[in-house]
Amino acid sequence: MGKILQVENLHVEIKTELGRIQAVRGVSFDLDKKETVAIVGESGSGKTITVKSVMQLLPSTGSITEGSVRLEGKELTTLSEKEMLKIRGSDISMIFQDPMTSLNPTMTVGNQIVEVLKNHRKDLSRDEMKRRAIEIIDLVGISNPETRFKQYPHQLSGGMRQRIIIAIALACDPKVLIADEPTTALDVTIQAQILDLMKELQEKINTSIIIITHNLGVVANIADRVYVMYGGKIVENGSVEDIFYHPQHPYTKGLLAAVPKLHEKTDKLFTILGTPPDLTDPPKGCPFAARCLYTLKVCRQYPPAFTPFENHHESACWLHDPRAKRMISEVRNAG
Amino acid sequence: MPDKQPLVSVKNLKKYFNVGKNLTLKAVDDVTFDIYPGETLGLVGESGCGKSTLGRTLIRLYHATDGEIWFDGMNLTKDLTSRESFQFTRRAQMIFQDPYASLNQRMKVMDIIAEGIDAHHLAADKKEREEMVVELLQTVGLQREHANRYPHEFSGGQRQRIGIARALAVNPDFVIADEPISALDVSIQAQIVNLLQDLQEKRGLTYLFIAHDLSMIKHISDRVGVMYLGSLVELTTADELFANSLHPYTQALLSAIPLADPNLEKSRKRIVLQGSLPSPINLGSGCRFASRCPQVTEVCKEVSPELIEVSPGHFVACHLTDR
Repeated sequence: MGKILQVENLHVEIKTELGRIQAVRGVSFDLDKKETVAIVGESGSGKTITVKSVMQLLPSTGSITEGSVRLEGKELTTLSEKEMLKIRGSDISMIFQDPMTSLNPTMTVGNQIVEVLKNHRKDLSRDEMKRRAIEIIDLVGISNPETRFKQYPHQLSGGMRQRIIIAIALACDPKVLIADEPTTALDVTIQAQILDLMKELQEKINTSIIIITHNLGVVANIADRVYVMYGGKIVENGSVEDIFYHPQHPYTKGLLAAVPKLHEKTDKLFTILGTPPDLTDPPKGCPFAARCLYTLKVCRQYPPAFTPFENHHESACWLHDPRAKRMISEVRNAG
Repeated sequence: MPDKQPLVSVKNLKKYFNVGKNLTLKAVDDVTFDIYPGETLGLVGESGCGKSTLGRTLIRLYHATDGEIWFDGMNLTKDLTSRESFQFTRRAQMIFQDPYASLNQRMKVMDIIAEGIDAHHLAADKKEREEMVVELLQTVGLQREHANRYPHEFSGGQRQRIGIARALAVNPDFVIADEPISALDVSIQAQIVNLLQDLQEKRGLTYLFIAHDLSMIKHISDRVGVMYLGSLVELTTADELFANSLHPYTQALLSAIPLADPNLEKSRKRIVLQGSLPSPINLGSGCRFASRCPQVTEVCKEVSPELIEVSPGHFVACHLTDR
């Protein structure tokens, strides 16, 4: 199967009063047709900036300094804003974290869906657009779509607003749907509904999904493949099974161990000491070196390359290097 | 723990808010439970279920509409003398959810932490005050030099540590933690939870831990209470709740948590609740969960079930178990 989206060696810088933040430092990832990929990481790891670069929606202070983003082979980073407008909302669309602020409070939800169709489906008449909007409201599982069409966002609950946002994003059957923390602001029972809805809609309209989240339970529920980000870099990627059952990178391992398990009794949670690195002056070597339990001298000086494991599973850590393995076993034997 | 005397005893507590036009919002409605010394009672529920209102009423930030709250033999719901009220503020403290909004940004960390020490005259002189603050900072994993900085110089996790140090400054017996970790990153959450557990062991603290994250609640709590729309629907030990929940809402809530285990996630059967939380304003009679309950019966719509002890220490408010 051909790749729908390919991001290669992406570097993004953001200018602030405190200096240039190197928010994304050489990120590469790809997305297959009908696949769901999760990008996991803590706040400040660069995951949101990465997908905003794909959408060409960086803040005015931010810029892509290097790298390429290709949608079905077509380069997006060199497109003009006008050309990008045609792609946003029709080929790629995005849903944001907060369902309370991403809708326009002065417009009925129906008209907000019609607005997308007006921009991208000029072949439809006004009536057809309205019919299509009602159809989509129904598709995202909201009852009485005709009544809802005429309502304003404040008349809907949080879960329903998130459904409307999904409806807007899916209005033009996008090839790629980017969901940035789509369920973080919602309660667990509503979160379960939204995750089920996303999976159901993916089946129906054959979209590929990139989901950004810090909730590992959500990742386990929805993702096919996972990219783990830390300090502006991808540190590990692989199938969801490989990441959860055979994690290789110390950061991934730590992240998984820091979450309490519902079916196991643990006395104390595992903690990753310290805090994430300052990206105005990023560490020269591995971004995780300062917090890692197994830091070697080389970790602080040179960034590690990816080591491949079975089944397209990769991890960027010096510990996988044969020289490091030899050294560790020597130290063990000596001790 | 029925042989011990409860530290906090809540009886038929109600907290109503008047929202105009003769409408009443019943945020907490007829809630009864005990908290025993040295234990952690977890309180879970979705947003709008009244768990924060309950916490705030317990610490007297709100006046209870009806019912009683007993704290170590003292009735908090009657008018306290200023002396009693003053004593209570030393013995019970609160940790807040938002580490950005709950610290005064114009005050130095030293003065934030020492506010309680000053109010209760716990330090003899300036030197002792400083020593106490430094010791508190070290207890929560910060350093001496942090005392002279302002809150904006700290990260979210560090600010939450300052909030914990402030709560501990007056040497309380009872601490209410209202969503203390939900604003923090995963790796930082574990740090704060471990800190709270260490402090409980060392100082014999009693916690009321309010959160919506069920896996974290299970990890930290001895007993857990589940709230739905202002009422307590189930209360039992953490292990019992997760192994043998009886209320349909608890069961749905437990099945809705996504687990960090892909194979389990694929095979799990989920009870998906339809609709969302109804408005808590002017509720009718009957069980509050009736409108979303998958096992609803006729009686549920008319009579509100009472919280009944179905097996030792396991309380449920549901007509289905009441037979």
